[in-house]
Amino acid sequence: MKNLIKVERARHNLTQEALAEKLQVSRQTIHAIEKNKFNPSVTLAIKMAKFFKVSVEYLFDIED
Amino acid sequence: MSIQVLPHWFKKVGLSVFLIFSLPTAIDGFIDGLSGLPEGDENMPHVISSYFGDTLMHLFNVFTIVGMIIYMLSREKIEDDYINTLRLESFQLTSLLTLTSAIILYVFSANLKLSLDVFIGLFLWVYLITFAIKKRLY
Repeated sequence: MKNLIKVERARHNLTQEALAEKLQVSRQTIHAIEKNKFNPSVTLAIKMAKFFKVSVEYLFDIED
Repeated sequence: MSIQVLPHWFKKVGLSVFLIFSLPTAIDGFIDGLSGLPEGDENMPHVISSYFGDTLMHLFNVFTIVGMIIYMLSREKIEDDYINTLRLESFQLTSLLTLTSAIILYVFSANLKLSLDVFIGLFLWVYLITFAIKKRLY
Protein backbone atom coordinates (compact mmCIF):
# COMPACT_ATOMS: atom_id res chain seq x y z
CA MET A 1 0.00 0.00 0.00
CA LYS A 2 1.48 3.35 -1.01
CA ASN A 3 0.76 6.53 0.89
CA LEU A 4 1.30 10.27 0.79
CA ILE A 5 2.13 10.76 4.45
CA LYS A 6 5.60 12.11 3.71
CA VAL A 7 4.22 14.56 1.13
CA GLU A 8 1.49 15.80 3.46
CA ARG A 9 3.91 15.99 6.36
CA ALA A 10 6.26 18.13 4.29
CA ARG A 11 3.31 20.28 3.14
CA HIS A 12 2.43 20.91 6.79
CA ASN A 13 6.09 21.49 7.61
CA LEU A 14 6.17 18.83 10.31
CA THR A 15 8.89 16.49 11.45
CA GLN A 16 8.15 12.80 12.06
CA GLU A 17 8.44 13.48 15.78
CA ALA A 18 5.98 16.39 15.65
CA LEU A 19 3.43 14.45 13.60
CA ALA A 20 3.78 11.45 15.90
CA GLU A 21 3.13 13.69 18.89
CA LYS A 22 0.02 15.19 17.29
CA LEU A 23 -1.34 11.74 16.39
CA GLN A 24 -0.29 10.25 19.74
CA VAL A 25 1.77 7.48 18.20
CA SER A 26 5.50 6.74 18.26
CA ARG A 27 7.96 8.32 15.81
CA GLN A 28 8.90 4.81 14.70
CA THR A 29 5.30 4.25 13.59
CA ILE A 30 5.35 7.32 11.32
CA HIS A 31 8.69 6.25 9.87
CA ALA A 32 7.50 2.68 9.25
CA ILE A 33 4.29 3.89 7.54
CA GLU A 34 6.22 6.31 5.33
CA LYS A 35 8.62 3.54 4.32
CA ASN A 36 5.68 1.17 3.60
CA LYS A 37 6.95 -1.25 6.25
CA PHE A 38 3.76 -1.06 8.27
CA ASN A 39 0.10 -0.59 7.35
CA PRO A 40 -1.69 1.56 9.92
CA SER A 41 -4.93 0.51 11.58
CA VAL A 42 -8.19 1.91 10.21
CA THR A 43 -8.41 4.19 13.24
CA LEU A 44 -4.94 5.65 12.66
CA ALA A 45 -5.56 6.03 8.91
CA ILE A 46 -8.74 8.02 9.59
CA LYS A 47 -6.95 10.05 12.28
CA MET A 48 -4.20 10.93 9.77
CA ALA A 49 -6.66 11.84 7.03
CA LYS A 50 -8.61 14.06 9.44
CA PHE A 51 -5.42 15.71 10.65
CA PHE A 52 -4.25 16.52 7.11
CA LYS A 53 -7.84 17.43 6.09
CA VAL A 54 -7.81 15.02 3.15
CA SER A 55 -9.67 11.79 2.40
CA VAL A 56 -8.33 8.38 3.44
CA GLU A 57 -8.44 7.29 -0.23
CA TYR A 58 -6.18 10.20 -1.17
CA LEU A 59 -3.72 9.46 1.63
CA PHE A 60 -3.59 5.69 1.14
CA ASP A 61 -3.84 3.75 -2.09
CA ILE A 62 -3.42 0.11 -2.99
CA GLU A 63 -0.55 -0.46 -5.43
CA ASP A 64 -1.48 -2.16 -8.70
CA MET B 1 -3.79 -8.75 24.78
CA SER B 2 -0.79 -6.79 25.98
CA ILE B 3 1.53 -8.14 28.65
CA GLN B 4 2.86 -4.64 29.28
CA VAL B 5 1.04 -4.29 32.57
CA LEU B 6 3.35 -1.90 34.36
CA PRO B 7 3.55 1.87 33.76
CA HIS B 8 6.52 3.37 31.90
CA TRP B 9 8.30 4.59 35.06
CA PHE B 10 8.68 0.97 36.18
CA LYS B 11 11.46 0.69 33.58
CA LYS B 12 13.63 2.77 35.91
CA VAL B 13 12.61 0.58 38.87
CA GLY B 14 13.47 -2.60 36.93
CA LEU B 15 16.80 -1.18 35.79
CA SER B 16 17.70 -0.06 39.33
CA VAL B 17 16.78 -3.46 40.82
CA PHE B 18 18.84 -5.19 38.10
CA LEU B 19 21.89 -2.96 38.61
CA ILE B 20 21.83 -3.09 42.41
CA PHE B 21 21.47 -6.87 42.65
CA SER B 22 23.88 -7.73 39.85
CA LEU B 23 26.58 -5.61 41.51
CA PRO B 24 27.84 -8.32 43.98
CA THR B 25 28.31 -10.89 41.18
CA ALA B 26 29.84 -8.25 38.93
CA ILE B 27 32.31 -7.16 41.63
CA ASP B 28 33.37 -10.79 42.24
CA GLY B 29 33.87 -11.28 38.51
CA PHE B 30 35.80 -8.03 38.25
CA ILE B 31 38.12 -9.02 41.12
CA ASP B 32 38.63 -12.46 39.48
CA GLY B 33 39.53 -10.79 36.22
CA LEU B 34 41.82 -8.31 37.91
CA SER B 35 43.72 -11.04 39.74
CA GLY B 36 43.84 -13.24 36.63
CA LEU B 37 41.77 -16.08 38.06
CA PRO B 38 40.08 -18.47 35.62
CA GLU B 39 36.40 -17.80 34.82
CA GLY B 40 33.85 -19.66 37.00
CA ASP B 41 36.35 -21.38 39.28
CA GLU B 42 34.21 -22.40 42.27
CA ASN B 43 37.23 -23.29 44.46
CA MET B 44 38.63 -19.78 44.43
CA PRO B 45 37.50 -17.59 47.31
CA HIS B 46 35.24 -14.69 46.28
CA VAL B 47 35.22 -11.63 48.48
CA ILE B 48 31.55 -10.67 48.04
CA SER B 49 30.16 -14.23 47.81
CA SER B 50 32.00 -15.25 50.98
CA TYR B 51 30.66 -12.20 52.78
CA PHE B 52 27.00 -12.68 51.81
CA GLY B 53 26.87 -16.48 51.62
CA ASP B 54 25.36 -18.77 48.98
CA THR B 55 21.71 -18.26 49.96
CA LEU B 56 21.90 -14.48 49.76
CA MET B 57 23.88 -14.59 46.51
CA HIS B 58 21.20 -16.87 45.02
CA LEU B 59 18.55 -14.40 46.19
CA PHE B 60 20.51 -11.56 44.55
CA ASN B 61 20.53 -13.51 41.27
CA VAL B 62 16.77 -14.02 41.55
CA PHE B 63 16.28 -10.27 42.09
CA THR B 64 18.50 -9.56 39.07
CA ILE B 65 16.11 -11.63 36.93
CA VAL B 66 13.10 -10.00 38.60
CA GLY B 67 14.54 -6.59 37.71
CA MET B 68 14.85 -7.59 34.06
CA ILE B 69 11.30 -8.96 34.05
CA ILE B 70 9.98 -5.71 35.56
CA TYR B 71 11.80 -3.80 32.78
CA MET B 72 10.34 -6.17 30.18
CA LEU B 73 6.78 -5.82 31.47
CA SER B 74 6.86 -2.01 31.61
CA ARG B 75 5.07 -0.03 28.96
CA GLU B 76 6.86 2.16 26.44
CA LYS B 77 6.42 5.93 26.62
CA ILE B 78 3.99 5.62 23.71
CA GLU B 79 2.29 2.30 23.07
CA ASP B 80 0.76 1.74 19.64
CA ASP B 81 0.13 -1.00 17.07
CA TYR B 82 3.58 -0.73 15.51
CA ILE B 83 5.38 -1.03 18.86
CA ASN B 84 3.24 -4.09 19.60
CA THR B 85 4.24 -5.57 16.21
CA LEU B 86 7.93 -4.97 16.98
CA ARG B 87 7.48 -6.56 20.39
CA LEU B 88 5.79 -9.61 18.86
CA GLU B 89 8.57 -9.98 16.27
CA SER B 90 11.16 -9.74 19.06
CA PHE B 91 9.38 -12.47 21.05
CA GLN B 92 9.23 -14.70 17.97
CA LEU B 93 12.92 -14.23 17.23
CA THR B 94 13.90 -14.71 20.87
CA SER B 95 11.86 -17.92 21.20
CA LEU B 96 13.40 -19.26 18.01
CA LEU B 97 16.97 -18.40 19.07
CA THR B 98 16.55 -19.81 22.59
CA LEU B 99 15.00 -23.01 21.25
CA THR B 100 17.70 -23.36 18.58
CA SER B 101 20.52 -22.88 21.08
CA ALA B 102 18.89 -25.41 23.47
CA ILE B 103 18.55 -27.97 20.66
CA ILE B 104 22.14 -27.43 19.49
CA LEU B 105 23.42 -27.87 23.06
CA TYR B 106 21.34 -31.03 23.43
CA VAL B 107 22.63 -32.44 20.11
CA PHE B 108 26.26 -31.99 21.12
CA SER B 109 25.91 -32.89 24.78
CA ALA B 110 22.91 -34.94 25.90
CA ASN B 111 23.94 -34.84 29.57
CA LEU B 112 24.93 -31.21 29.75
CA LYS B 113 24.20 -29.70 33.15
CA LEU B 114 23.46 -26.00 33.07
CA SER B 115 22.01 -23.75 35.70
CA LEU B 116 18.47 -22.63 34.78
CA ASP B 117 19.39 -18.96 35.17
CA VAL B 118 21.63 -19.27 32.10
CA PHE B 119 18.59 -19.89 29.90
CA ILE B 120 16.37 -17.40 31.71
CA GLY B 121 19.13 -14.78 31.33
CA LEU B 122 19.68 -15.69 27.68
CA PHE B 123 15.97 -15.37 26.90
CA LEU B 124 15.59 -12.03 28.68
CA TRP B 125 18.79 -10.52 27.25
CA VAL B 126 18.07 -11.64 23.68
CA TYR B 127 14.51 -10.27 23.91
CA LEU B 128 15.55 -6.92 25.40
CA ILE B 129 18.41 -6.43 22.91
CA THR B 130 16.31 -7.48 19.89
CA PHE B 131 13.46 -5.16 20.88
CA ALA B 132 15.85 -2.26 21.56
CA ILE B 133 17.58 -2.74 18.18
CA LYS B 134 14.26 -3.02 16.30
CA LYS B 135 13.01 0.17 17.96
CA ARG B 136 16.15 2.12 17.17
CA LEU B 137 16.47 0.81 13.64
CA TYR B 138 13.82 3.25 12.45
